[in-house]
Amino acid sequence: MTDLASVPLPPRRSALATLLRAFNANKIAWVGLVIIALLIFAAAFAPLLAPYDPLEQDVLDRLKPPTWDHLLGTDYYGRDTLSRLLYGARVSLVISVGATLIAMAAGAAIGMLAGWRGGRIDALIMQAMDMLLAFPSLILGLMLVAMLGPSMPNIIAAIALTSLPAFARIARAPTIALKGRDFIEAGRSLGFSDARILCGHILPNIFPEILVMGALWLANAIRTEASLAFIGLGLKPPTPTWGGMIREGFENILDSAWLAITPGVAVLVVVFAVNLLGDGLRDAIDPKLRNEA
Amino acid sequence: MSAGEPVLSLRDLSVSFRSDGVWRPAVESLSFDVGLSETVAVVGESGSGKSVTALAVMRLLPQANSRAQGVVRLDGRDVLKLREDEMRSLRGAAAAMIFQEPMTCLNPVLTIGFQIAEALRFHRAIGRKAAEAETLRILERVRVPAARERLHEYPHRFSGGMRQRVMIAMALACRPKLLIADEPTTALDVTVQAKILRLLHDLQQEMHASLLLITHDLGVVASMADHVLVMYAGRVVEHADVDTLFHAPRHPYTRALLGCIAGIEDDRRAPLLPIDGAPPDLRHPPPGCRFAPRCRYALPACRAEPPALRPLAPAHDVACFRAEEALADA
Amino acid sequence: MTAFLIRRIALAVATLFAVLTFVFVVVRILPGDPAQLILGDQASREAIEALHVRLGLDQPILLQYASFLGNALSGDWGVSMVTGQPVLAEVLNVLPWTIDLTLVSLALGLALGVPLGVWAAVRRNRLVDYVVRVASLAGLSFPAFVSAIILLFLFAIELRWFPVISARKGSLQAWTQSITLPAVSLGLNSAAYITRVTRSAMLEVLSEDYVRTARAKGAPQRIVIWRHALRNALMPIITVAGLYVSTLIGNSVLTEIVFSRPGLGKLIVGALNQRDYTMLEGMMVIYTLAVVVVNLLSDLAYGFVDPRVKLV
Repeated sequence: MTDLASVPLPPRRSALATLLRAFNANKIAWVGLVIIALLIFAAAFAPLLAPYDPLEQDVLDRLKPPTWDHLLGTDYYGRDTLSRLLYGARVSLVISVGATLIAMAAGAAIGMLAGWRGGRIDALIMQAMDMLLAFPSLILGLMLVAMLGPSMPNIIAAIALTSLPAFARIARAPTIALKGRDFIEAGRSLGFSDARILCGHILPNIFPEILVMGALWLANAIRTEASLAFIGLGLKPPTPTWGGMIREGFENILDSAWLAITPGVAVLVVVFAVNLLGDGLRDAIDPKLRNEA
Repeated sequence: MSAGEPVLSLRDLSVSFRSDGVWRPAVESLSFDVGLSETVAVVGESGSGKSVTALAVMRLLPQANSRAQGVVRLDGRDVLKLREDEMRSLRGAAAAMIFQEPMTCLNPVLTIGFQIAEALRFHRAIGRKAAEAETLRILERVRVPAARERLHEYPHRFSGGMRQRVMIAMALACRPKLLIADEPTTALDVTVQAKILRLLHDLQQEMHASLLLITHDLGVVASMADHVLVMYAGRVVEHADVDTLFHAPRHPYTRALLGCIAGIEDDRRAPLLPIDGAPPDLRHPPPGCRFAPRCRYALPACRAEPPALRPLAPAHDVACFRAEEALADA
Repeated sequence: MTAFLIRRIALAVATLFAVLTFVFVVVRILPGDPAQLILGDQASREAIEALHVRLGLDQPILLQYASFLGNALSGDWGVSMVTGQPVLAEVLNVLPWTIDLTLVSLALGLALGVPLGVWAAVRRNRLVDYVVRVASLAGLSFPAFVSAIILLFLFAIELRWFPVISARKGSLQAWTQSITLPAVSLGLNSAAYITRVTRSAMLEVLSEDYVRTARAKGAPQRIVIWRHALRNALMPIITVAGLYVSTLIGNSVLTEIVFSRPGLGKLIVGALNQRDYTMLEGMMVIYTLAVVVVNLLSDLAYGFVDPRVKLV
């Protein structure tokens, strides 16, 4: 005699619920989310929020520490640090998000291709990816930008190239695992083209991992952009970039430390926030955490 | 400890686990004794609480999310009340345990000789050379060929059966009074199973050790046990000596278990009788007998109140309201 | 063991060839005529062509490639277009500074990161674990130059405990003085990474069956953690640390700028700014060599720790 009513069903969870659970378990991820939201807001509304024109110089008011007039002080040319910081946020966001998105798309495509085709192509692609990944990414980035010239597209391309191999690798393994599954076989026997299977069936399965990786590499991209600007390979002055501001501050560090440290803290806080978010996202998709108490 | 006192004595052992903030019982009110040189088998399906019992005796349950209550007397001491360092001196010395998966139970980066010697050196003030000599002796005793060379090898060079022998060697190194074997042969090939069981039996006899054998395999029980506990959903449903259990089981679950096995003399065409349904989720246990939902003899009284484990005859306890009836198979 | 070594070295040599070829190709793709750049805009055609001949740029490309390979392997890496000094000599001059910094930073990172990671894993989900996780995330969020500037400001400028320009050699004391701040700045970042990977490796290992076996034998907690668990956790830690070294080498560029310290970083930035092609070629080769050597060393270390690998 069966009593199926006594057999309990496992509870079903939507993606949003899983995400919320993970974020609640890892409460500090909310902090990351809030900071990033603030950053996007600040960057988007920089023209409205900035008290001064970021390019406006005032030689009488140079290298001042924070005052009521200039909340974060002024730089070597008398430009308001806060305003430059806000406009610099735009640069950082556009470049790092752009580079990460390109790396995600291109890297995932390459990884899926390698996993799907297998054989020589796979071996060749992965060797190239491994070499790229092993090479110090900052050196690679700075060589590319130095050789091609520090324009926005070039910088984005250079950072994208250094992030690309990670996405290729993370897209490849699940592709190989899924390749042999029945529903893929079924699709092929129905005559679906490779592209259709890859985009329609494999991509949705690997999307969460790629998203998490994207968050983590976004943090890297922001850091790399700032580093390049610090070395002198960022967007040319007078365009405000956080890295460039730190460089100027560094050159004048004996006169005013505020200039070097303030944008530095800004970069740090933003990278930290993105990392927190990425951590939270990763906990959300980690299968162990999903089933665990 | 006098000659008559049991090596292991459990009274009302209860173990619960916490998951998702909710406590779920895994074992409830477990009481039994293991006497000197006795072999006691604990039988049940997955989730019945038998492995949890073994881990509770050794106090190897994860501290964070588990709770054990009751009395566990090992070698005269109440295990649940000991300090950790006191417990540590018992583990491996007074009682030792071997586990189900020999493939993952040995540390891959240490030689097996080292791992066996460790068992000795944790409990005795013994030098390296003496430990090595003793290790060699034990390894030969568990019938590992070419023991002298294999002492210095790493676990990945050993087959499953060999690794289980190494585990047995580690467990018996300090001559424990109680050996707990949690499904020792389940993960092994059938041909190897018999050899390992034989080895366990011989060593147990030789050392006058008691054996607490956890298993779901009734064949193993028949060949090794003195008396048997049948567990279901965290509770003992029947406790009898091995002959009684196999020839005159009284609990419907036990009878159903025995009905699931094909005997060599059975009519090949007679159907195997599986037990319908699945064990209950112990977060929300049924109000009456835990087995009632799957029991073909269940009465309304069975669903109202859980039957207590009561003696039907000397050395035969059953937890069933209908134990006295000679229930016919439908 | 030797078969393992031979295979790895062969692979390394093959990679080296691939990289040399890559370097050759990439540098020649660069926009701009090197001869023109050296001689300036006013140079005459004849002068440019003469320089072409001197630099060997008029030869057929394959011949250039062959002589490039030949030179590279025999140690003739050409002469810096800017300083006139042999490239190899310039590189070898600054290499010890970078190696020093990398090694000390890595050592600091391991010395701090491994114990912290173990501690966090053992005290999982308690306050210590939480603090360590957040702190390590913060640590690895620091861009290398930001931590460098903050340290420089605090300890060199304000407190004057260390020199502002960290380029002293000679005595052990001078060396220590000049390497401390840069190494700590990089070391904090390393420690953060290593803490994380140690923690996650330890958590994995602590839930393995053989750890339970060790406990069942009566092993004291510290032996369970350090002998049984950490020995196994070392394998992923070594892998990650090996990969991290290339990040470390990259970040040292930033640290060298902030602390005015000689090293490969400064050399390459200078070469890029001045379009010093021969120097750039040399730098690319040395960076790749560095990566190859580090990979090899970390593979060897791995083989040392994991007995299953030795016999493969």
